[in-house]
Amino acid sequence: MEWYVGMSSRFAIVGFSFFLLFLVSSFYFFLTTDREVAAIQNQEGKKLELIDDLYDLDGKKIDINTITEGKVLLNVWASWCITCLVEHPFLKEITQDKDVRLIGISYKDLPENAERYLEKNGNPYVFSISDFNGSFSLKLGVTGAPETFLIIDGEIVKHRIGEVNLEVWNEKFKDYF
Amino acid sequence: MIRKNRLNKIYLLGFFLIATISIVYFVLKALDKNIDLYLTPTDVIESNYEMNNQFKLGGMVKEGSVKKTDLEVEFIVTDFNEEILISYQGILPNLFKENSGVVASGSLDGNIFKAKEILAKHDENYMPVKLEEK
Amino acid sequence: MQFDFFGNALLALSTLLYGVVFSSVVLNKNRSASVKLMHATTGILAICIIYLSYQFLTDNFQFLYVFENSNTLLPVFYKFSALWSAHEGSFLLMIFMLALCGSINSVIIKNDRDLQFSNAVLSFIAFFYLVFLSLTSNPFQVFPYLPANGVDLNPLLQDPLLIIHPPMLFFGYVFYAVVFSFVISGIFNKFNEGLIQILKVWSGIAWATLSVGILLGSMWAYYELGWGGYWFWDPVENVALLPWLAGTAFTHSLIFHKNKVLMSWMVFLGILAFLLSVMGSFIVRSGIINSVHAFASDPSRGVFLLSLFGLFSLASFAIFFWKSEKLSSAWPKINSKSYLILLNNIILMTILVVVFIGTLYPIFNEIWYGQKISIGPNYYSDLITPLVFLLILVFTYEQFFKQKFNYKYFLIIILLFAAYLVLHLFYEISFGLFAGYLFLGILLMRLGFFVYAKKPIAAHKIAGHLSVVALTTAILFNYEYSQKVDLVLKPNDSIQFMDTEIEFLGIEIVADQNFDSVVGNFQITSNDNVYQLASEKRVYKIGGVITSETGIKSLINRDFLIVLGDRFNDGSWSLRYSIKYGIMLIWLSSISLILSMLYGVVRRYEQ
Repeated sequence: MEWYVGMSSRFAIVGFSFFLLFLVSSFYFFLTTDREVAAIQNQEGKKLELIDDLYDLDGKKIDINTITEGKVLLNVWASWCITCLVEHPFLKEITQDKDVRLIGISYKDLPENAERYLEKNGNPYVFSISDFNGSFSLKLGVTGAPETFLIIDGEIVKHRIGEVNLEVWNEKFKDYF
Repeated sequence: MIRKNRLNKIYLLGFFLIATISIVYFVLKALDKNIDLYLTPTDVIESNYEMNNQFKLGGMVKEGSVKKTDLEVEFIVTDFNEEILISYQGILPNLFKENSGVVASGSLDGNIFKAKEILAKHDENYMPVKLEEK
Repeated sequence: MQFDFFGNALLALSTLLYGVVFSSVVLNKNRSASVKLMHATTGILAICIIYLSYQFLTDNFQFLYVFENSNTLLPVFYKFSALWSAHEGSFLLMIFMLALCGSINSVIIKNDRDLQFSNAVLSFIAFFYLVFLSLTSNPFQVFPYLPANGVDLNPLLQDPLLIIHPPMLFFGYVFYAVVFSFVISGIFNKFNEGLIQILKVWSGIAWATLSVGILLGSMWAYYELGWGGYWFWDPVENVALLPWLAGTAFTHSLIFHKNKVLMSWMVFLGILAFLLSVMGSFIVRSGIINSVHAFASDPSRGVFLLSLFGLFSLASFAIFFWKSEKLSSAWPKINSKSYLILLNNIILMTILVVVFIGTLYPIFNEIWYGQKISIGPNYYSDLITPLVFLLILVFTYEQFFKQKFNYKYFLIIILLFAAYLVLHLFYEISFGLFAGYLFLGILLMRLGFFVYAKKPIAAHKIAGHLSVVALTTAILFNYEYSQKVDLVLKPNDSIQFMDTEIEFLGIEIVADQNFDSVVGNFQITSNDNVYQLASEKRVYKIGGVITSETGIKSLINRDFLIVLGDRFNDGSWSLRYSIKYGIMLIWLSSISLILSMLYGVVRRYEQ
């Protein structure tokens, strides 16, 4: 009698362990596969939609051709965004070492805060588009900061949501520069 | 003596079987009644508005689309691909803003989504969310 | 990003020391020295905490963690508490607590073998937690340069309730790890009387701490977030509830030791409570669940925590499997006290399974079918309410099960049924509430009888069970009678709702240092009593975050809540007015439940 009951609890343990294994492996599968919600987020392959009145941080009007012609890297940033600060040194590095035309989009940020941020941390951008209310970024399909777009002749070729570092650079953007 | 033990064991097994089956039955029934799907406007339009049950609709509030009259609110939710008009009666949450994420739960009435509840979502990359860790 | 040398050296050293403690116990070498090492590691981790606090207090924004969570303008009190306001710091604090528990054990526990095994298990856990902390969520990351100011602590977190709520949950988890360590020690050695006493004390403390954590979270949601409720069956809440349920079952199952029945079941529950708490931190931190709590998530952290969960469960179940023969698996006699406790355990486990399925089913659905779903709160209330009443029935029966059944009971049951019919037909009392009052009455009468007959009573047990019934009744009371309405009102207008009259006195604009706020003043008249309340809407200057400060007037049996909505062009405002019943009763009964458990622990410790 004792023997039987003891065995049944062992069976239960084995069964439970299998359940756990199933649980853990499906979580693992879930965490390691990339789940980019294509419809909402990634804008690759789309035409760049621009509004006519774009101004930089000093309030000067921007010539739209400077964005739509040739190879341009658009980087969405803000002074309140921590990840932007993290990727900032890398952006400086690539603009110094490679022939990259980097244009910033100052996203939902006060111009004076943005200026101060650039003064303190250095300015890798050719210029930054001031997008205080986020309307330009919305057209681009930006969901937050930081995001980076590679634009070739007015078409979004690559779109990165989140930080750009060496690894991401090599994977997404390196071939174009 | 052994017989009685064995009988007890059978009773016990039967009891467990009945208990397990009834638990499974009730859980399945409750799940069936209370599951809401999460859909985007594209999903809804692809199905030709053929959604009879209650579901949750998620997307961004389209800029300039919010109209308020007393407690009636109407706005368009978009996933940058398709759009759906939502109507709602009641108080909107604080985080509800144009150009920011929203989840509405309710059901379709023709081509209009009648929301019973509106939840606003934080802009996901926006800093305070990072700080909202408990 | 660089790393601060001093902080990381301390982390590395303590990791190493835990490795040494674990191996010295396992290899059976220098066991007495290992106790001293435990104390040393606790000291090192304490220095770590002090070092990080120092950076906060001196505004050293070179530390990424300080930069993210503090600001020169933040009051000193919040600067200090910002230490555990985000993932990295709270995890560090949690590991320190684990170390401290090890040290406390080393001082108070006399049985050397139990102590050694418990220390080994604790250092095994702490070792991996420290590796996790250093690799994926290092609090000692520094910028190569010094930023001028920090980002500030989220306004939502600048609240005293929220400062104690997260560490309470974490400490609850840590204490369940300690319980787990003694359960493992019991598997290897023997569940003797001394060990059972230790387990009773620790599981009581763990249970009370976790309960306080959950209760504070619930209060915070009600008073500060103004969500208008106290429990939402949100995945993050559920995940804290799972170890609590397993822990409740475990605490009860300790009684099996008396008759030497189902010890394996007790061990299983002890392991389960710990594993569920690890799974809780995994689910919350990996962002695998969509929830209104938006946690910062990082897949690498998720994978690491998942691997830890896998490792801990593998290790504990392997031990359990190999040693399970030694544990008694005999069934308790039918209609004995142990049998009733077993029934209680089965019901609690069923509730646990219900919550577990409700929490994880959406994830599985997304993994296997790619479809996003959410499960409504009715799923939980429909399934759990009858189970809770079953539970109440079982422990009320436990008070009487030794008595012989006779015909008088039939009479009583028929009378009760008639009473229910009368109350239901004439006063519209629901069956649930009637049952709640009935059980409350039975238990109170029982308590009165014991006191009158001067019998020795386990006061904490009766008080605890009474609190459970009171809590259930209060929740039903709240569920059945609460009302809400959305209104549009002009200043100086008034409107009638239920038995109250609400008058809108006017709007004030107030400017504070870091926010502007609109304050609506209201007056509520109910049965000749007049209550004033103010509802606020704040716009923070940094980031433009809008928060509502719900106007709440709490009375003993009901609360009045007003949420301010939008202003319309004609000067009127939309607002949500709700009357919630029994909120204060819910808090009071939960507090008395926790106090009963603590009183039980103190009594046990004195013996």
